[in-house]
Parts: sequence; structure tokens; C-alpha cells
Amino acid sequence: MAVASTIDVVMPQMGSSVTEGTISRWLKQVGETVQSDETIVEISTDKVDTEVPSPATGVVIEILVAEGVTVEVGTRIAVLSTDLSATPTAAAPVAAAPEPVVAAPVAAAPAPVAAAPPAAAPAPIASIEDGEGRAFVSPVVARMLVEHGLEITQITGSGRGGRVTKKDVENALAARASGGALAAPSSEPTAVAPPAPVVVAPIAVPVPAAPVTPAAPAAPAAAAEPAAAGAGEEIYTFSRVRQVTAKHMRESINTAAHVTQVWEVDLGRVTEIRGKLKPKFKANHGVNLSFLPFIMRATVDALALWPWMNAEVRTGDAVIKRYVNLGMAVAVDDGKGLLVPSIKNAESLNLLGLAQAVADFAVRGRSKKLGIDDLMGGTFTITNPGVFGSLYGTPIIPVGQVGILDTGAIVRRPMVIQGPEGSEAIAIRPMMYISLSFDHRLIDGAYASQFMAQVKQNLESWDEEAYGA
Amino acid sequence: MSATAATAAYLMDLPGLTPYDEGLQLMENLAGARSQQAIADVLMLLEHEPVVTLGTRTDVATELPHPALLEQRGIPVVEVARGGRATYHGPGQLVGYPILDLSAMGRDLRAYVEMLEGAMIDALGDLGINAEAREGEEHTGVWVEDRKIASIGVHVASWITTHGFAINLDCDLEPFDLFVGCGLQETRYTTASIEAGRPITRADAQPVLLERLGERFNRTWELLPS
Repeated sequence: MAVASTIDVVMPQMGSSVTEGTISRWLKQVGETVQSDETIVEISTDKVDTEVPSPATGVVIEILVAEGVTVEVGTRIAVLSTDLSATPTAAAPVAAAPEPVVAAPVAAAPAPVAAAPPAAAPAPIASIEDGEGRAFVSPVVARMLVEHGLEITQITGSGRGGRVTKKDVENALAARASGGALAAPSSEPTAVAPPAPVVVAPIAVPVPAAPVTPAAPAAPAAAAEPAAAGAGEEIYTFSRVRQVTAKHMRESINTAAHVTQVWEVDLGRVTEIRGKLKPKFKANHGVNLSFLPFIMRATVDALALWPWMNAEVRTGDAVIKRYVNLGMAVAVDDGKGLLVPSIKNAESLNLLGLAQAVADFAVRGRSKKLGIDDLMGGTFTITNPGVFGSLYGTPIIPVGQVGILDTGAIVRRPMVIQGPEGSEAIAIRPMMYISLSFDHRLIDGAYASQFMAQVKQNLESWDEEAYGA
Repeated sequence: MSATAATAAYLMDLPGLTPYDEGLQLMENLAGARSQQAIADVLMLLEHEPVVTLGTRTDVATELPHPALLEQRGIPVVEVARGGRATYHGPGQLVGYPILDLSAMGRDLRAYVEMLEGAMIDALGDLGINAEAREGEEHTGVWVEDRKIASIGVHVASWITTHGFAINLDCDLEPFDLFVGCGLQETRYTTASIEAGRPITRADAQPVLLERLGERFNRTWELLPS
């Protein structure tokens, strides 16, 4: 029996001036066999991605550096065993990549206002998060921070994604040595922490009144449009995502002729059926049944009868679509804006299928697994800000569609209901407003009304036979 | 003082607009041949039909939150087996895919990127544009003050380079506003024509670029029949 040995995989030397690299992707996982010279990992430096060949044939028994983490050249990043029957020695990577930023679906509770910068509690290989999960630092930088008693929030990162590099720390130390000021931890929202929306920014901190230390390094010149902040004001520079979102909204307003109408729906029957199905869905399928799949199902069925609502105005003509890719507006945390993934061929899904699709988007949104295909091809959209208490809205129609349905909060209200033989009574009913914005270029009010009447009818006379799980 | 004799390399000059998939396939075939030492280094020069390309690990939520804007303009989105951010290619943008063996050039990734930047800066200088490289890896590419005029994105396997650079000559810049792209909040894009204040076409830029790339890489270009 041959004597097995272990072989280290190290961050390779990629040029005399390249001192560190970032793990982009492990192509081999722990327990997998890799051939000598087969690509084991992809790394990135500057704007170059490199496939790194395995130094030997063997089994990966340890991965020491997780994807997204930057390490110095020469750092051990994995261990191979030449014994092809070797078993992994460690289950978990030492430096786990921080969890991606949560993309909260609309149905989630409001996110906490400020992500507090965590105190530097170095993981074994040091990945210090800034609350947005992106300010990875190399071990060298982590060591320097600790040695010099610096907080990562005091340093503006110039590396990829705002990462603090060794050079940034050196610059900060030089600035400190020359009497310059470091950014005060967490008092300056633009330092490292993700930009807080203006509405939640502490208005009691007038920027101009902040103490200015002599010889403070000049703020980086911010392109050509410097907005001036007065006393009691604070500047939030539009992120690129915000800019693109703004472009989308303006483009829709500038092209579609928006009209909104509001309907009132009695959700008594749906509430009853949901109460009955909810435990079954949970027990049998592990899926939470909210009201949204009911509204989706009712909408998709109404679209089949009123197909112009499921269309696009393309170069002056209307393109009517016989399939429904049902968009679902998803709010994304920390100023990242709004996503509208769409459930493909929603007309083919029953209540369970829709509930699963909604849950799937929530999970994949959080883990950043939404693909471009998810975000493209929507034909009609539902947005449900009602979970926050909004009664009704006048939503903007997504570009490339002619309608969007907004669901308001479900509120128990006293309603006049019809009794037998024309009698009337007041009863407490779970009521919801639904509003529809439609593009008046294509759709007239009468058509939109008939579509909405159908949605209302589908919900109020929910057909268990047709819609059941 | 005499320089080492320049090595001959191929130039594949693709006229008109090349669909992205076709250009990529050609590039990969050439890279395969290069890695087996079947051919010499090659430089592909081309313009693409409008396209937005995504790295396979792109987080679409942060890079392409509203693809409907592209769909509406008929700009396809293509996923590419590369890292890096979303980027736009289209008519009026000169794209270069150098397929080189870096083993013969000292295996230095940063030096390679700097050579590309240097050649583009020199070529833009020949056209009367004062362009420069900027500090910091997030600023890779070529800039005129704070305006980005050329981008770089390189893939290396077995020290063979693929992908490369793109210089905005007289392209429509609006598509850059439709996605998040290189992710730098302050990035604004520009073209050689805007900077020079006169139309600069591929016919103007390509000869000087070839000369400057030849200088940097010590290559002479032998035109391949396309």
C-alpha cells in the first residue's frame, strides 16, 4: 500500500506585482477527486480571472479559504490527499463567506434601519463584515487593524466592492501620523456602512457642523454633480441600482398612459379556505400559504378572459400573450431597490404551485440565486404593499407590460350584506382593496373594469374544485 | 540599442457587426488552438451587435435589477463563463480579444493588463485624446479624467488569455444607464468622438491601436483571412 501524503494548494504567484487574489469559485469540493492540471479553483485579481490548475492528482480533503475571500499570494487555500480514498478532515471551511445581503420579499417585516458595524471579532482567517457583507479583508489587513487598534469602519475601502486593502490601512496610518482625521466610527453614514436612505438618516447631525480636524484629507471628489447640503440636511448619492430603478420608473411614466382604479373585495370565503388548507400545505408540502397565491390564481384566471391586460405595447402595436409570466414585486433591503421576478407560465400552476413559486423567490432572493431569466419576460405584475398596512396604491406599470395589480391590507370592516328575501344586515367582513394601474394607450376603463370584476368574482366565489391544491 | 525582433502574430479583423455568440465561439476555438501551441498568438478585433453580457456569478439583483429596460430596446442579455461585472457591447465600440500565451511573456497578470491599458492610452493619444489609467483595481480600464472610455476584462487559463478590452469610439452610451455594470457609483462613460470633438470611427482608431499594441507586445500583425 502506497504511503499517502497531503499536498497544499496555494494562492499562486501571478506576477511580480500581484500580491493577493480573491477566490471566485471552487470547481472542486471537499471529497471530490481532481486530476493534476485540472482546474480546481478560479481566482480573480484586478480585472483578470484565472483558472488555477491542481498541483497534483488527489482528493480534496480541506478547503481553507471560501469563495469571495481575498488572501495573499502563497497562502494555503486547500489541501489534497494523494490517497484517493481519503476522507475529508474538516467539514466546514475556515473562513466562511458572509451571508449575502437579505433580499426581503415584500411580505417580510420591515428591515432594521441601520446595520450596525460589528466589532472586529476575527474569524480564524478573518473576514470582517461591514454589515453589508462585503468588506472582506485579507489576513494581513486584519492583523494590521488589530495591531494598530483601528476599526474597519474608520477606513474607506478602495478595493473591489469597498474592500479595505493593505494600502488603505497604510494610508489611514499615514494620515493619522500626520495629524489627519479618520472617519469617526459609524457617525458618517457614507464611510463604509451601506448608505442609509435619507428618510431614516439622523437629521440631527448637520454635516457642516461636524468637527473638522486640521489637515483632514480632502473628501474624494465626487464627479460633476455635487449636491450641496444645508444645515440639517444630508446627501444620499444615488447608487447605481437606484439610478437604474429611477430610469425604469421614469421610462414607464413617460410611455404608458397610467390610469388606476380601485375595487373592494370581500375575502371571507378565501380566508375560510386558507384556514383549512394552511395546515395541510405546511404538513404535506412544507410551504406557507399566504393570501398572495389566492390573488395570483384569481388574477391569472381573469387574464385568460381579458387577455389584453396580459400584453405589451411594442413599437406601436399591442402584442397579446397567451401565457402568463406573473411578476411579483419584491422589495430589496438597504437601498438596493426593487426586483420583479416573474413566475413563468403561471396559468399552468394551481394554488400549491403558486405558493411554492412565491416561497422559491423568497428563498432565492435572500441567497442571491435569482437568475436573469427570473427577472425577464414578465407579462403582468402583482405588488402587495398591503402587508405593511397600505390600503391601496397607484402602482407604476413595469416597462413592457400594460397592467399591475396592487393588493392592500386586509381590514375587518362592518359591511352591509344581503340577506334572504332582500333583507340587509351589517356584518364584520375581512375586506381588501385591490387597485389596478393600466396603460390607457391600449386598455380602456370598461375593459379594465370587467377584468377587475372577474378578479373580484374569482376571489369572492372561490371555486375549490377548480383551484384546489 | 536594438530591440528584440518582433514576433509575428495573427490579426483577425472582423468587419461589420459580429453577433456576440459567434465572436465568443471563434475566440474559444482560437484559444483552444493556441493552448495546444497549434497557432501563434492572435488578436481579434471586432464590433458586436448590441448585447449586455453577464458573468456567471453575477448577482442580478445588484447588477441588472430591471432587465425590462433592455428587453424593451431589443438588447439581449447573454451569460458568459467569466467572472466580472455586467457590461455592454455594441456598434461603435471597438472590441479586442488578444489570445496570447502569457507563459512566453513572464506570466504576470498585472503587467498584461497594464500593457493593454498602455497601448490604448497611447492610441487615444495619437487621436488627440488625453487618456490615462487610474489607481485602484476597481478603476481598471482607461479614463479621460473621471469618464471611462475603455474597459478591460480578461480570462486566463493555462496562461492563455481570452476576452480583453473594449474602447468606446462613437457608440451609443445610453445602454450603460440601463444596468449597474462595473458597480462604481460615480462611473460615467464617454467615447473617443465626444472627447475629441469630432467623429472617430473604427477606420480611424484601428490602425493606431494595432501599432501601439504591436509596440507594447513586440508583435507584428499578420492579417488572417476572415
